[in-house]
Amino acid sequence: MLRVAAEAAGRGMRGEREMLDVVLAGAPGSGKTLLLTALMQLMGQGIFATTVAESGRQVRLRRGRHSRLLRLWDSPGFSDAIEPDPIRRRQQAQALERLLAGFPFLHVVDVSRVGEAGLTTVDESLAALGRRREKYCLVATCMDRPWAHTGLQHLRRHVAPAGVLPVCAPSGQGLGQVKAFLLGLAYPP
Amino acid sequence: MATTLSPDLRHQVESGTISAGEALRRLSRLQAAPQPDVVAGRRGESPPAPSAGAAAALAELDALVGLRSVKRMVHEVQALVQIQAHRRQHGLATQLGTMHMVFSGHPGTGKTTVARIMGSLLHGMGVLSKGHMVEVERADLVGEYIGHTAQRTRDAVRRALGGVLFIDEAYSLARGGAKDFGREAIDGLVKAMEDGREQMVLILAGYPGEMEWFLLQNPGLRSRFPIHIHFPDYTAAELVEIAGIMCRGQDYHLAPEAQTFLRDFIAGAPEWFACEEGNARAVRNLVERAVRCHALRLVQKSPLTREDLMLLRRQDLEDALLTHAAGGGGSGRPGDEG
Repeated sequence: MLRVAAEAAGRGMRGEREMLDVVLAGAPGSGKTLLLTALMQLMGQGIFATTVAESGRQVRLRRGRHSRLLRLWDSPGFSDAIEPDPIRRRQQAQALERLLAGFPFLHVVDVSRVGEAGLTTVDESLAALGRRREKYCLVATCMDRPWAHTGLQHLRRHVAPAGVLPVCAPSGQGLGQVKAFLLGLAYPP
Repeated sequence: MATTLSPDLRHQVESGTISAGEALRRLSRLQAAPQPDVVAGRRGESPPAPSAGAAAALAELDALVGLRSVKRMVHEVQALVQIQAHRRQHGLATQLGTMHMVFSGHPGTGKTTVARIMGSLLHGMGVLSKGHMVEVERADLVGEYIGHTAQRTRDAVRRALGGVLFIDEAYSLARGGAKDFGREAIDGLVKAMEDGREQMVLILAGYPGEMEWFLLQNPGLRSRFPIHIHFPDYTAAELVEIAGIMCRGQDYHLAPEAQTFLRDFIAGAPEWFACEEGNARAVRNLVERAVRCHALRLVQKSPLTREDLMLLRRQDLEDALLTHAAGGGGSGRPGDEG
């Protein structure tokens, strides 16, 4: 908690609009890191192969004359199994702490898995948490796989009637909408 | 509320006591705010909704460690009551029936706690007018002369009207044979169940095997208790989590090495904790003994830091187990509550 408080306090000390922190959360293998990589590439940053949760990835979001730093926090997937690796457990704990501290979050769901097998309990909990947040977005990944459209329909009808952003990270389809969402967070009307 | 729980959740995930998914569920529940009923809201109706008391009771239940199957059963009961209320509103037949229950499980598995929550829940749902719990055992019901038992049983029932009558070790009522006054208590209870169906929920609790035997003794009993909930023994990880909660409740905390030791110890002697010694109660007794050993360890030390005063080390647990083995502490005797 102290660390998250320090992160929060550290924002806004650079003489510009304070940094915007956004967490990517979801079940293991839902495509968080792939989405993060694709978003960073879209916004002109490097490539990351595996989950990097220790320090968020920063990128500058510009709108007109304005500029604001965005820090995206990747996280290891949440699951009902206790993670054997202590480092990943610590990263999970940090991600939970950021969610608890009220950071905006992108809820990343492999929509093909939803279409085939339904929503996991982890995703149900994240969606329940997100419904009570203003700064929350459900990102449906893996739109290029079988069952994806069935899953998307399920998400739109039962989980997030307010909005789901379908994405195919490898082809870049839908990423613009996610960026628009992030811009909306950075520059609220 | 969620903010104060954050260090616990974080610590539990980091130490591997609970999964991140479980922590997320708790976080989600803790941050739950009253939500409009989406389906009914679309139709502009105002369906009967559980009160804040029912929501608080469910939140208390969900915050308990483990007990997944028990929680599911209680949620089923809650859902049934709620849906029957909806059906009644639409003029449909309702079949709520009796809500008397049998709780079977070893001592210290949470039977008494869940019975108390059940009372609050049913009160919040409008099934019980008061929702309080009256806890009795054989000695409170069975009298010493003819007619005495009936009177004592009636008294217990009268005190419990509008709430829950919880009979611990209920099987002991049938233990003494045909001439035992316990039979008279059973007859009195059966009659009270028939008379005051809407006004009281009777919960019989005890060891699984004994409760099964008890229900066989009186042919009418089983059908009068439609809800059977089995309370499983806690796992080693759950008991360590319970120990952590108990410590934090008294402003102590278990050092990581102490947690590892406790988990290994429980895993190495599951029968010691799981059955006769009383699950969570055994852990509570162990923590209480460890607190005394911690005091003994520190009493000669000076100066003492705040951390010293709060931290229970592995050594304290080892000493507590040694004093237990030597007969120097509470016994964790089954049957105190449960």
